[in-house]
Amino acid sequence: MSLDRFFIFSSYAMFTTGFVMLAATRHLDGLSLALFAVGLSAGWLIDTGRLRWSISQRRANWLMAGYLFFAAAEWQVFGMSPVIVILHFVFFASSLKLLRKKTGRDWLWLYVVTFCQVLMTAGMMVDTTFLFLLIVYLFAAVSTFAGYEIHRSALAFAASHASQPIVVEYWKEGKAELRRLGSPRLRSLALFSAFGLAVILLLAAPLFLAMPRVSRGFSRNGLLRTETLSGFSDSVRLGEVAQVKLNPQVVMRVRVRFMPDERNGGERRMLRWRGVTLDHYDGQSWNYTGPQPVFLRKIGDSFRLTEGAWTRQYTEQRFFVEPLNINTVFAAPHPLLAVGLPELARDEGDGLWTAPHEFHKLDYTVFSNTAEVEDAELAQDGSRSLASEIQRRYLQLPEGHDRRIGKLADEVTRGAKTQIEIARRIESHLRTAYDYTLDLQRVEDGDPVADFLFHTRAGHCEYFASAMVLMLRSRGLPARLVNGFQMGEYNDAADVYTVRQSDAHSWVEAWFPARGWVAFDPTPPAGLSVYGDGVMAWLRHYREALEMMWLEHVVGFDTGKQISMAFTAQAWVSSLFSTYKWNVSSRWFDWVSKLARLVEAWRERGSGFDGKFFASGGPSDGALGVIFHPLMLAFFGVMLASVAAFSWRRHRQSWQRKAGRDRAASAIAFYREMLRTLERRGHKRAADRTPAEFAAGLRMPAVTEITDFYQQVRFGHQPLDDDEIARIGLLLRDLKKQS
Amino acid sequence: MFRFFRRKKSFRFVLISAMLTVAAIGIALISAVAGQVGEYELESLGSKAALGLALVIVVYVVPRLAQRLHLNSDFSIHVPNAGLIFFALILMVTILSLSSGNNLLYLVLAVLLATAFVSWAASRLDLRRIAVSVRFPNHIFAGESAPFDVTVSNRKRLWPLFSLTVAMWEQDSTPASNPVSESARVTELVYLPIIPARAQARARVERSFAKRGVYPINGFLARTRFPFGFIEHCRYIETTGEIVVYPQPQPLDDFRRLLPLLQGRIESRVKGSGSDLYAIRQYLSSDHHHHIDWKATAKTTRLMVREYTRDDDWRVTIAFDPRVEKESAAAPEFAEKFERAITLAASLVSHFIREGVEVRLLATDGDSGFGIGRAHCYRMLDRLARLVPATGEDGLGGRSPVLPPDDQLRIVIASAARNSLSNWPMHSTQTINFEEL
Repeated sequence: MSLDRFFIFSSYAMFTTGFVMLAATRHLDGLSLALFAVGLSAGWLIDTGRLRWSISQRRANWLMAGYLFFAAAEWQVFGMSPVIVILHFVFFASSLKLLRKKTGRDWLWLYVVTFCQVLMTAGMMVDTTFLFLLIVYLFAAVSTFAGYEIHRSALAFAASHASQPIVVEYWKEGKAELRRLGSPRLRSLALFSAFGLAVILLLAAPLFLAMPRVSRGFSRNGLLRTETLSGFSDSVRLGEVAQVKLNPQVVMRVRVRFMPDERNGGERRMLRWRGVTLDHYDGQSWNYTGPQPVFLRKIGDSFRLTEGAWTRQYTEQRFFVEPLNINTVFAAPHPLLAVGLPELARDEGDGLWTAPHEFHKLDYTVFSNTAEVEDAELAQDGSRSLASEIQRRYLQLPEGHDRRIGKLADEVTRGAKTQIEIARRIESHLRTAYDYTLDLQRVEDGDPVADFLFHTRAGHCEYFASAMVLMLRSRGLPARLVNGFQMGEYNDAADVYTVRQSDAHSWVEAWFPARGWVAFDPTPPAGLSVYGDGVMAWLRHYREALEMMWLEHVVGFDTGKQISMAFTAQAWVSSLFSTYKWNVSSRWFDWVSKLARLVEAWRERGSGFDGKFFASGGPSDGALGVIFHPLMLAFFGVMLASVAAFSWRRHRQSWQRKAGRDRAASAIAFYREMLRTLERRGHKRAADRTPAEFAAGLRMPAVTEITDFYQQVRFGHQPLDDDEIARIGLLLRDLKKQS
Repeated sequence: MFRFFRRKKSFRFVLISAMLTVAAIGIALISAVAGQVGEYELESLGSKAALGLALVIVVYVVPRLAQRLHLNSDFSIHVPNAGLIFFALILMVTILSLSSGNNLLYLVLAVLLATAFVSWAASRLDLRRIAVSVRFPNHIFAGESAPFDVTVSNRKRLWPLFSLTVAMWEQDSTPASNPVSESARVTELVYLPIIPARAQARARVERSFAKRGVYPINGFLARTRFPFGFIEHCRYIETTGEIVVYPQPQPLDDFRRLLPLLQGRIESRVKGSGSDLYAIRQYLSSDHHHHIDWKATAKTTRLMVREYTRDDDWRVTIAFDPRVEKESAAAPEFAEKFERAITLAASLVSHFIREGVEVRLLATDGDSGFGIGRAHCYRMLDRLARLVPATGEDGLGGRSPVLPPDDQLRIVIASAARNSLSNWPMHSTQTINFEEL
């Protein structure tokens, strides 16, 4: 492959990668992508000479001017977002450049545009795809710029020396002779590109970790795609959650640190992620009728959610939430503390809300008290007094509601003595007597819950929860509907729970005066998410683990993590040091302590110090004994250094030692030393040049003099006296100083 | 055996440096351990002592090391336009990253910064361990193309050499125009895209020099913008030498009007009583009968005689007096006249040498002595190449050439009046002034 072909190939690899990166954001329409792909292909054909046609500069200018009107129309008339308009414009301008016979400036323009495409992609996607594509782009870019530089330099030189083409021969330097080579291959350039890329990535990693951050890492990705999620507002129509359950898109990932006693011998306890609570049912939809959420005061980076004392038993949950069009903050029940949110508000249904995050991800942590209360404890709660607000909101039944619901509740709970027993009976009845389905077809009009309970006898979680709430309320138990998510699929590779829209769920919270709101889930087990096993699941888990690592350590990397990393490094170094402490420290600590006492006593000058510098007990006692070890260490170190220096000097001066014994060998030795020194300066004696010719060519007095000495000894068989040996040493030293 | 002890200073330096370093390390270690065991006073004392020793080391060792160290100033860096654009991009991404907090932009920034470093390191590495040599002819004439064989060796074991431009840095000496000012110029010789490791590239470059003179070679400049064109590294490779460009001899017909006296001598020089046959002509009454060529006579039926060359003591002295008054030297046309004078001298030398005449060149820098042959010719041309106008305080500085009395033909080229060399016999001396050229 010629250099020109290499350069064109790598350039188009770079353009293609930039294009693929933008395509991977899924922000662009198929037509734009297809047209640009055509332009890219045509450009390749033009530059490789397979296509004779190319667009002229004049025509390209007119087309560009015309496109500006089209871009304005896209923005104003068709209402496209500015980002898409800009992307279309960039594609169009790049296509025009690609369809021309390119000059050096055109290539540079295309490189800059491709780089801008990379920047835009960084603002529009945060998953690991970006990383892989960036690496491919970097490899292409390194190859491209290396090839472009050689191409440009060769052209520039040829232009200034057009009258005399220069032919270059290549020779390989062997031990004995030179061997003629052909033209050098470009394999070394490709190898350099790979090596250069590896070095760039190795250097970029610590730079990335060390650069100062001024805001949280997840934020400000203003061009991210937003996931639409329904069912989590203050008014939810019955059936909306079921719609959400049809979507497999990931909503969030949760890393959970369980309380020690919740592991149940290794099995993780099931949690649910609370979203919104709804209290008013009008027969078709559930609504929140409480006052507006109240904003909580931020202390540092956290929001305290309970006034009571903290219990040691809590569960830590760290949420990585995708950009969503809702403001709900998901967490396990009974949250105690929230960290990492820009703002937090809480409503009277204990729902949590934050600032909109349609275009950026959220990374926050919640600490919750997830200790379960035993039924026996709840059974002891016989209190029936309810606050008026509780009664008003959580005992509400819709006007004209089906009375059969109440009768069914009475029938199911006949004989139940406690509230908890009532709740459990209703829950159990719904779980066992009804089927789970996502099929939303209704047979009769009217109350959908009644239709579910008495006619279809099958439904999804919303119906089960709604039915339980109505049945509890008909029995006088305050209850409310909760919309949220099931725990999700556990990924052991990443140690996170991946929560998808299909994990959306509805359940019930019933009020127990002594305990508060207690959760019940009447949905049959068939309605709970089941996750597959096998190779695909394993692959999915590892891909998500990579994704998590990318999100946590790259996309979400911030100042806090930098500090944490520094502390971790310090702890690691300390642990390394402590590894050797036990072996060395006992002696070191002893005499360091002695040294400290000596210092202290010296300062006090006579108060308790008997001034014994030389103790009778041996070198380990007294002041001398205390500093004995470092002195000995220093002494041996100096001896070692001296011996090393001595040996080194002897080795370096070996020709002088030989001078008195073997003249020829000493002459060769110092002459070779001179040649080595000159070689470092770029002067190598060719094999066909005699020492005298070489010296004459260099015109250096020191070289001439040494060469004379060499010839005197080597060929004249005249010994060197001490002065001459010293003179040679001086000349060699001067030569080395200059090199 | 104890010769190395003769260099007491260096041995003492090593000894003291080692002791100081070990002591500083030992005290620092003590300080660290003291901190571990809670002896904070000792820790404080030890750290201060270690710092003090470090300061002593800096004061004692570093200057001495710096004296021995040859700080490599052979490398220089230049940032071309592409590099300016690249660094502007880095700045732009920096601002975007800091303002947005987007970690992916930070990632791009880190990659850009790493790329800048790799660019610098790779171009620097590219220029290491290279050797450049140039061979050119010993005799170069002005206006003629001369082959320069450039050899670039890549001494690196593994790393190829990419995108190298080799230039020669030489002084542009134009002595006739202004003997004082000399301007350096860099002449690009060859561009090499790739040289494999442990290989060399050879190229033949044709160069021509418009003017005669001496062009001292200050060294080579090896330049590269590899790998990305963002940074241009330049390395100066020291070398010494000079390119001597001889004046280009012209046909003497060009100077015919200046050499009337010489014409006959030039022509008559070739006819004499030597032993080499010059021509066969018709007999004249003054010819000796021994010179009759009977064979030619029989052929032509007319008496023919042999004519021989003159090979005994035919000598020419060319004296070039570069002395000139300051006012004359300042004249705008003087440089051209001086060059024509040099060219005339070179033409005469070349002509007479070609004719086998013993030629001597006298100038203020010395006497070449009589000689024949090309080697002698080149020596004289070399001297002519180096001649510069000589201006003294009295307008006629420099030594006046001394003329021995036994010459047969003298040609003086000077700018002074004829009486500047008044001790020369006028009848056998052809004087040519610069002003006549």
